[in-house]
Order: sequence, then C-alpha cells, then structure tokens
Amino acid sequence: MAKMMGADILLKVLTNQGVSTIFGYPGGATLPIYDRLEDYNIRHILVRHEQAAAHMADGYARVSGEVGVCLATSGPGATNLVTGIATAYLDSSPIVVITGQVERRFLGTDAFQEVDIVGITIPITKHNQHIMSAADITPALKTAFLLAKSGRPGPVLLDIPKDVLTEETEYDPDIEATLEGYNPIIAGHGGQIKKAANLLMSAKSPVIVVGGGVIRSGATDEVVELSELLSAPVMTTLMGKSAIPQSVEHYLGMIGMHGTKQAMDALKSADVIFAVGARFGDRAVLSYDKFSNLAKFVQIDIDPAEIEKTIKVDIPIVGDAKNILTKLIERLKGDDSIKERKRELVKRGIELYEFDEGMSIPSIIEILSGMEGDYIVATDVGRHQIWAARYYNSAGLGTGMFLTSGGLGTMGFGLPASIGAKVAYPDKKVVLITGDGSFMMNIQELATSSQHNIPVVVIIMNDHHLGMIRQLQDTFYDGKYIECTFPDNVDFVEVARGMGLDGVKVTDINDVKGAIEKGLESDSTFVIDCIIDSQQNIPYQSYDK
Amino acid sequence: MQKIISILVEDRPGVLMRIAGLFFRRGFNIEALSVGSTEIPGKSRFTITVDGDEAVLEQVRKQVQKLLYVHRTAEHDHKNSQLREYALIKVKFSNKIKTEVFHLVEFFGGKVLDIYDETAIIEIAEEESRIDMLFERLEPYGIIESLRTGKVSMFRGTRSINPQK
Repeated sequence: MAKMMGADILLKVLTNQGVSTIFGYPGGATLPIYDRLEDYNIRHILVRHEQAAAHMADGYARVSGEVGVCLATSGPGATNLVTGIATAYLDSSPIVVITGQVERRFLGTDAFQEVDIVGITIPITKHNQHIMSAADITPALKTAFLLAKSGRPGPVLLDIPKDVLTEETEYDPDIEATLEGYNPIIAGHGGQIKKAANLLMSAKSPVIVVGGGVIRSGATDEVVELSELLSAPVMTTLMGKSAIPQSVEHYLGMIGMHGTKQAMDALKSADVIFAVGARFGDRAVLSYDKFSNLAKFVQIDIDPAEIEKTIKVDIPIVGDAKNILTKLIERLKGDDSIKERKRELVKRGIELYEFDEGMSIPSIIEILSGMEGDYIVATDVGRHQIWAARYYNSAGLGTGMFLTSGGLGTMGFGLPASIGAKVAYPDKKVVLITGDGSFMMNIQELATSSQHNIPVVVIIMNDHHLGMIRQLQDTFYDGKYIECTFPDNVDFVEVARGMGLDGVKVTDINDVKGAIEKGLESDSTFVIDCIIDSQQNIPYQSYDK
Repeated sequence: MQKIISILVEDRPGVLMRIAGLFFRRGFNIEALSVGSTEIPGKSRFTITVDGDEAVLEQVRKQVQKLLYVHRTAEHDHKNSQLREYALIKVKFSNKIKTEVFHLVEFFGGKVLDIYDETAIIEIAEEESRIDMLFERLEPYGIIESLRTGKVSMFRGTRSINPQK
C-alpha cells in the first residue's frame, strides 16, 4: 500500500464521498491541505469570514440533502465557525466541519491560535472528535459523513492537528467506519402505527402539523395523501415551510406566534393533532399549557429525544416519517370505513396584505410571490423573515427550497446560505429576502459572490430599523424604542458596486417588479435596496381570539 | 426524586465531559458519579446519582443515549438492583477506644484498614443507609476526613447492561 500524507488522505476521502465543493478560509494550521488542493477535483470557495463558510455549507446541504463541507484553521478560524455550526445544529442540517489544530506536541499549551474547538462545540454538534493520527483520518471522515446524513441530520466536526496532516501513513480506502452505539430507528413500531391508525379513524377533526423533518425525510407526498385520506387540514411550522405545495388547498399555512388565523382556528377545533417531524418549539406552540390541552397528540420523529421533550404525547412513533406514513396509509386504506370519512375541508384563503401605494415589506413579498418562479428563496432573521414565511406563497416554491434560520434565528445567515444553495443548484435562481440589519452581518460575502461569480438576487427590506426589535419594544416595552434605529448612513448599492457588483435603490412600489426582474436576468449578484416607509408590526396569534 | 442511572460507554477521552454537559444543561447537579472498566474490553460503565424532575431526567437520559460513544443506559432502584456505596473514614484513635471502635466497624460491615499516628482509617462498602449510620456512630470519636464514592449498582437476576448478554 502506498504511503500518503494526512492532507492527501483527507482530500482523497472527501473526493470519494462525492464532495465537489468546500467552503473555506486558509490559515497556518490548514496550509498542508491547501498545499495539496490543486491535485484534487474539488472546488474551493474562498469566503471572507469563516462564519459564512459554515452557513454556505449549511445552505448547500439544506437544498441538496447532501453533506456540505467547510474548512477553517485553528483558533479564531474555528471559533468563527461556531455560530454557523449552531445554526445547522438547531435546524438539523447535515454539514461536516473540518478545523485545523496546532501540532500535537503543542496541544494544551495555549500555543499560538490554539483553542479547544472540540470542547467548545460539544453542545452544538451531533458528534465531534480529535483526529490524533493520520491513520484515523479515513475512518473518522467516513463516520462523520455517515453521522451527518443519517438519522436526524446534523453537523459533525473533525479537529486535525497540523502535523497529522503532514504525517505519512498507508492509505487504505476500504477501512470502514465502525458505529457500534449508533443505530437510528427508521421503521416505526408496528403496534404504535396501529394505535395511531385507530385513533385517526375515530377522530372527528384531525389536523396534521408538519415540521422540517418532512423535508429531510422526503415525505411530502405521503403527508398530502394522508391528509386527503383523512380529510384533515395541514399546517406547517416555520421549518416545515415549503414541505407542502401551495396546490394543496387544505394547507392552511403556518402555525405559531406569527402563524395564520386559519391554522390557529384549525388547531383549536382539532381533536387529534398529528405531528410529523415537528418538535413543538416554543414559538410554534406559544403556550405549552394551552397547546397540550387542545387535543390528543400523535408525534412522529426520527429522534427519540424529541418525543415528549416539551409536551405530553398520547402516541409517539420513533422513526423515519416517509417510512412510517407509508405503513400508516396502507393500514388506513385497508379499512373500508375510511371512504366514509370524506368531509368538506376548509380551503386556504391566502391572506393578502392590504395593499397601499407605499413600500411595505409584505407588499414587496407579495410581488415576488406573484411572479411564481421556481426560485430558491432564503431569508435572514427578523420582521422580513416572518413576513416572508406568511406571504411568500408562490406556487413555484419547491420542497425544501425555502431557507431560513428557524431554530437559532441567526442574523447574517441569508447571504452565505443563498450562495451555498446556488452552488448546489447553479441552474436555479436564488432570491434572498433580507433586512438592513441582517444583511450587514455578513455583507462581506458579496465579495465572495463576486469573485466566484455566484449570482443571487438580494432584496433588502431597508426600513432603517431592527424591525423585530422595534416590534418587541412596541408590544412589550410600551413603545419605548431603544437602539433599534439605523441612521441613513449606508448606501447598499454603492457597497455592492464597491465589490464589483451592481444594484438599484427602489423607493416606489411600482418599480419593485422591474428591479427583481432585472436582478433575475443579471449574471452576477444584484442588490435591490428597497426603502421601506411603513413600520407595520406582524400580527400575533393567540388562543383567546 | 433520586435516580440511579448506569451508562455503558466506549472508553474514549472526553466521554465524561459529553455526558456531564448534558446533565448540566438541564440544571441537574450530579450528586455522585463513578466510572470504571467492565467485563467488555474497551467499555466503561458510569453510575450517576441525580435528584430532580422525572420527566426532565428521562429527557436527559434520551439525550445521553444519543451520544455516539454511549451504548446503553439503564435505571436502577432498590427493587431491581443491588446498590452499594464505598466510604473511607479517618477517625481519632487510641488504645483506650480500640475495642469499641473495632466492634462498631465490624457490626456495620466495615473494616479497620490502617492505624497510624493516633488515627485509624476505616473502610466500608454497604448500602447508603448503613454507611450513614456508621458515620453517625463514629462522629463522637472525631472524624478527621472522609469520602464516599457514591452509589454503584447492578441488576439482580439475568438482566445486564451488556447488550451481548
């Protein structure tokens, strides 16, 4: 067997895993990898900040379902990844993170650019580990890919000292990953499926709540079939947005704090709430006490730890959503009385924003939505994000093509995630809906998009405010606005131009569509700076209304 | 409510940190913890004693079970398991009290390990309550220092945490 350097083994295994792109930023500890990079068929996207590398890998992974890979050096390179890793962890996105580390002999000495990134990222990774010899690289990487993608997906981090990357060892591509203690449950328990079927058959007004797990599992068709079989309305969480096509007329939109009234009404009149791949997060549930008392609960999740984490469940089923739903549907179809269950369903009435002449966030989103393109749509975090989740109801939105940081709520996620998504799908148009606050948090990535020619259409809802902060201060702090206002001191179009890109400032609602069309036609990133002149709050849902 | 949990793990650096972190995040103070090797090569066993809300503890156990290096978790109680604790107690000692100390220690199932410089080290491996009683009885002689390992536990009958058995 031929001897190879650790860095070569790493790149070889990555290639064998089908990795075609790495998002990264070089540093002293990872230079042995960079030195060997040109010999491999891997595209390296040089970012401008490591955080963005993690978000790009995340965006790539969310739309493609394949593992996204990012690479950073030791110390500050590694710590800069932390927000991106946590974002991927909270939204169950499969990424593999590779960090350089100081040489083995310096470990634990507070050497230059040394940080315990394995210790730091234990709570925000599905798994992480040090690789302490070149011989461990192959099995560790194989393990990392398997873990990231299987079961409930999530980030896996590997920390590799610089001298492990230069160490020579025999390369055996056939070493298998051994995962003795890891057996994700895929097939649901037959007895539980039977119980769920019986409960659903006896239910008068069952409803289905869909989370991000349905997108990860690819269970959209099964959910729709089940809902038709039961005549049950379907709702999604924020992470489940795009799991159900708009053509399903009994899809009632989003539940939760800023969800639709129809969804809230359906929940309130339900006798069985059937949740698939949804984890009953606090923003979706609003009040655990009130939510728990609404109905009986069936919960399907691939992660046993999600079962009954926040609310008591009558029938839990652990396993893969598609697998379980297929069996459940089969069982229900075997029951003749199912045909008698057909009942009139409430059709979704898409809430339209009361259109006025001015520039408002929802009216701009409605214009984009009305264009009905099969775009990948990403958001940042804040008021624009929630408006987008409510009002972006385009028939062209494909499953899993709505990217948002739901769990962690990471401002600055949008631009790099859009770039990552565009790398995964070069033929699709990617549109980012962002705010003037969020966009500024990773604005440097315009330079990355410009350098690597990865075009996205950026729509900035520029209201010169941290809109969500303003809304919270309005609602909960007697309208006392503190530190939520930005002066008009940034010209985003000029910033884009300064990075080799173009854009347009829009102040008239009648110019919005034309600007978006121009952006979509452009072969480089196009920044549309929409000057918003309303400060309308997003309506809250409550159990009392 | 006090719970005793056994965890069978791969003997890898950092396992303790991963497990302890999950208890910490949900606000559990680990009352006692012991780790050691088992009959399976490369596998260690943790016994953790915690006190707290049962539902939250069940959640933590599920989270622990998700760790890659964790193979099994199990819960012990007085009915399904033998529970033992080990303690070392150093007391002031002189020939005058020799007989009564030796009798006392023997009665509770302990042993005098060492006598040196007018002190004696006593060891005991027993149920928690009996160790508590011995402590109480030795108190008047003057305890210089003491330690307890916390509980270790083993299922009665054929049940085992070893997945192969």
